[in-house]
Amino acid sequence: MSNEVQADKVMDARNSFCPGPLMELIKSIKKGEVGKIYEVWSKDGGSIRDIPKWVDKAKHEMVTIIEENGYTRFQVRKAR
Amino acid sequence: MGKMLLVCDSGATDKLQTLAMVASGAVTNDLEVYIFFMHDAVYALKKDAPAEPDVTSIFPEVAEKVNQARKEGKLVHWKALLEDLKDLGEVTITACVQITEILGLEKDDLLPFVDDIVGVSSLAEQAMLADRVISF
Repeated sequence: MSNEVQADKVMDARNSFCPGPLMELIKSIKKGEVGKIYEVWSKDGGSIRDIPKWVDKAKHEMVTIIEENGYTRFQVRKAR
Repeated sequence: MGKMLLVCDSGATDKLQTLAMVASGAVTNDLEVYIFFMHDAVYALKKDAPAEPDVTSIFPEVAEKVNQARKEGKLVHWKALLEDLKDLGEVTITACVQITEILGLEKDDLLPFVDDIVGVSSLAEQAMLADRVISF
C-alpha cells in the first residue's frame, strides 16, 4: 500500500508492546469523528496482523500501511 | 457477539497482566467479557493495595526482561488496560463476595472499575452463559 494521506491524529506507540499500539488506535477511533484519518506507529511485530484484522472486523478502512526504518505506520479512516 | 468468562484467583502480577491481555484480545474481537476475581486477585484490586510485586518466572531471564519492559513503560499495566477495556467494549468486572467479607472490604475499597461483588452462584451462571471460560 502507498496511498499515504495526511493524518488527522498520530499516535506514536513505538515504545509499547502488544496490545499497546492496537489499544491506542481503538481508543482514538472510538473517540474520533467519522471520516477522519487516525495513524498509529508501532514496532510491535503483532501489529502487522492484528491492526488490519481489527480494522476490517470493526468495519473501518485501512488506508495504508507504511514500512519505515524499524517501525510501521498504519493509517486508518474511521468509517462509522 | 460471543461471550468469554475470565476467572483469576492469583494476585501474581504476571497472572493479572496475562488476564488483562486476554481480555483485550476478546474485546478487539467484539466479545463480551465477564471477569471474576477471587482470592488473592481481589486483594490486588484494593485501592490501597501494597506495592505490586515484580513479575516472577521459573526462567530468570524472562522475569528480568519483562520487569525491565514494565519499568520502561513498554507494557500497558493491567489496571490501565482493564480500565480502557471498560470504555471500549462490554466488560463486566466482579469480585468474589467471600474473600471481600473475609478481608472486610466493601465495593468502595476496590478500584473504580469493579462493577460488583458477587458470589460463586453468579460465577456458575456466567460460566453457563459464556462461550469460553479461561482461568488464571
